[in-house]
Amino acid sequence: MKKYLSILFVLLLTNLFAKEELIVYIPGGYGTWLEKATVSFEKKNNVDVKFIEFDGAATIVSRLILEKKNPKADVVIGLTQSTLVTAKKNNLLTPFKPVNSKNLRKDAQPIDNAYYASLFDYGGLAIIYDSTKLKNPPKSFADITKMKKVLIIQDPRTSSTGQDFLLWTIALYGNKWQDFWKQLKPSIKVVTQDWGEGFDKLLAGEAPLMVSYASNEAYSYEYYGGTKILTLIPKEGGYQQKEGTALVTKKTTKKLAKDFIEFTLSNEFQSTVPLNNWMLPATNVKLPKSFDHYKHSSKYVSVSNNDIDKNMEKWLKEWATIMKE
Amino acid sequence: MKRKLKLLELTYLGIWIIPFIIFAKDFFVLNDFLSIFDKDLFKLIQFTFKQSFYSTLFAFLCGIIPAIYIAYNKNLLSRFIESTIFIPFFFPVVSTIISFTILGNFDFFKKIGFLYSFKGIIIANIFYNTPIFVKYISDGLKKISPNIIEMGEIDGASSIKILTSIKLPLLLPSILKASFLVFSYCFTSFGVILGIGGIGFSTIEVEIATTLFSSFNFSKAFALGILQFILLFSVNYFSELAETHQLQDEYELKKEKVSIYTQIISVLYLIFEYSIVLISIIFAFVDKSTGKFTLKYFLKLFTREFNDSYPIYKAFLNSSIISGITALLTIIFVYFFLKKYSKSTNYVVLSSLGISSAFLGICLIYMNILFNIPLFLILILGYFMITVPIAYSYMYHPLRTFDKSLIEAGKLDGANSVNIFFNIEFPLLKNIFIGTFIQIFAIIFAEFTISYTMQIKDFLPTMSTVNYDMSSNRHFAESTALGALNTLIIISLFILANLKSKKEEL
Repeated sequence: MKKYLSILFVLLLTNLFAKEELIVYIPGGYGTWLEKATVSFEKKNNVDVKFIEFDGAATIVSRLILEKKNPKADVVIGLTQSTLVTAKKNNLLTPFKPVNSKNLRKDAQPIDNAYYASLFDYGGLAIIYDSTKLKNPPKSFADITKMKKVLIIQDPRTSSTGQDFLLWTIALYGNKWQDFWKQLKPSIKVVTQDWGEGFDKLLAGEAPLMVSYASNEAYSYEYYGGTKILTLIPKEGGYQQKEGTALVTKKTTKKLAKDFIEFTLSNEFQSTVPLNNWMLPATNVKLPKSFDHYKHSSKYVSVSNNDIDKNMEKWLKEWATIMKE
Repeated sequence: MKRKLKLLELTYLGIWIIPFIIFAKDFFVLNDFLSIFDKDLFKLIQFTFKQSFYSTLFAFLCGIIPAIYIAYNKNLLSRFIESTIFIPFFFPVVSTIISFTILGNFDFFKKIGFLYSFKGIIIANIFYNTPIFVKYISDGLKKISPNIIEMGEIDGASSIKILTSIKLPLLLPSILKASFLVFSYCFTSFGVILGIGGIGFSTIEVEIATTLFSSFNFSKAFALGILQFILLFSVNYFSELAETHQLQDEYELKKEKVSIYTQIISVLYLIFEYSIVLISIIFAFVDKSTGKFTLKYFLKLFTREFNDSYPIYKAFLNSSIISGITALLTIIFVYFFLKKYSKSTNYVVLSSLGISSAFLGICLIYMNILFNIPLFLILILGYFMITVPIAYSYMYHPLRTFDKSLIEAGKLDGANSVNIFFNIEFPLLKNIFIGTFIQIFAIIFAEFTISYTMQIKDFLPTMSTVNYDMSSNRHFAESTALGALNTLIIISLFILANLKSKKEEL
């Protein structure tokens, strides 16, 4: 009898001191960084934050839809504007306005005004080019449309970069965006499935221009002290990709989940964003020296979440039709 | 026994239908099925059929001469040609895309312009599927009785007349069977269409995958999945008509003198198939910055630091165990299927050929989410479904034509079915079992679509998901090295199996 009681006692003790678990769904490639960056949060709260990587924001939302009846994640990181809209539409998220959201940088805008997600980081899209192959780089989208088979873009149906590029052009050209794409089509050399595949093709010399990020040169200066791959923001205007953090709708939302979102907006955490995710931090932390090479635009355009909600499926279909014609 | 068989068939149907029913119950809306029937769908179906038809036709034309060569010759060249059969089932699409991209950027190929074109899709499908024709046609030739040929020769028929009037008509069932298999693979082609064809081309399978991940319209994806299944099942139904006319006996063909053209075409075929494979392997040994020979990418794969981010050892273990268990289960299951074969068995087994892998992955992960069924089991279940038709086509002929008098003799001597299996069937069919095991093992080891769709990398890393993760996180060179390593492992397995069977033949 004593033996059983001592086993029960040990089990109780184990349970008493067992760490709470917080499950966070994240896009691929974020794991190593986030594990290191959240050690202090784990220690302070005696919690085990388990990061589960998915291929991208779209696959995260796809999984949340499947898990709607039996949600496993507490928090998601990396929602883009369009995936956030889908998640909201499917009632997958619970609104939460973190106290730390008041510390957003001057030029940063919330990803969602109703706070179904909080801004996590943001960064401009850009056109990058191989300066050894392109001595006279284009300055605008109009210039690019005059060039033949020079641009690598990503498929908006499979890549978040590709989807934001489509939104960029919709923000710039409004109802005439299809006309712009018809003009741009001859300039496109290849449409890749994701950013990585596109960058490999750029390095392999398949085409000299590619849709990428404004932090391209900052990255190169940090690691290589310079680069032949340079960055340009077309003079028509820039576009910022936003990434958000959100609470997953569950029967009971863990307090720790809210604490975690607050933590992601702390200066301690946000200071790790630039050199790990190569995006601008959401809050006003000091930027590393290499970010002097980050390319800013004098004007930024955007598409509202409401428009994305109403039109995204239609836009994707129209885009595919133009590209297949 | 008949009841047991029906139970076996029902079990198999249940295994693949139940996950779809559960998924459909929660996500499928009938209106979505009706809404897919528009002008765009017609174009989509038209293109899917068109690329499958041309790919099948050209793969057949490319395969016929090498098939004749290996049917009548047993030498190093014929063994190498025979070994290309691993390509359609094992060689990863990602490696093919890399090889095609490298080749496509050479000036000569730039002029042909096969990258991102319909030509590129057809060439890649020829590369993938010609080995199937080579296998089926050469096996078919071995089933034509030499007596019939001799009678034709005695009657004064020329070799061309013998080919067109005797061999080809008798080969027709084998050609049709291979054609429908190749057609099915091309029909469900995904990576080749996107990676080599590019944005201008889309098949039903591509549409299913993009619907799943861009518009999250599971109901529409399900509707497209049903449509693809119906279309392919109808096509496969016709392939079964050929079955009744299939020759069953196999003869040891005497060596025939083949023309110099047959030899040249066979060598060209071998160069074509292996150059694509070799380019992807050689590329892994090239330093991406200096262009010189290096082993550094391979060595990096085995470092602890790299394994902390990309669990290669763990993935190797998981993939090996899952592939081994599934291959064994599949062979046992197919053995019982074929032991008590009936006409309906063919339809039951081939029904799963039309399943969309991307959609199967989603349905399986949904089973895990709803019922907490371990991913390990779920994955085995998924792989079991996709490999049963392949094992079935491999084991079909040897098991169906097995000399029943041997079994009867065993029974008369009082042996039970276990004794008969281990003392009569297994020793005689051992090479078939080993060959099928390696084939299935290789397919699962390299399988990507199901494990990718299930997004299980952090739960149950497998070789293909870890490799994809490396590639998408810009460890492109290491990813190529891992791909090359996998290819080398599988080629070694095939060579070992071949050597063993050759040793036993001697």
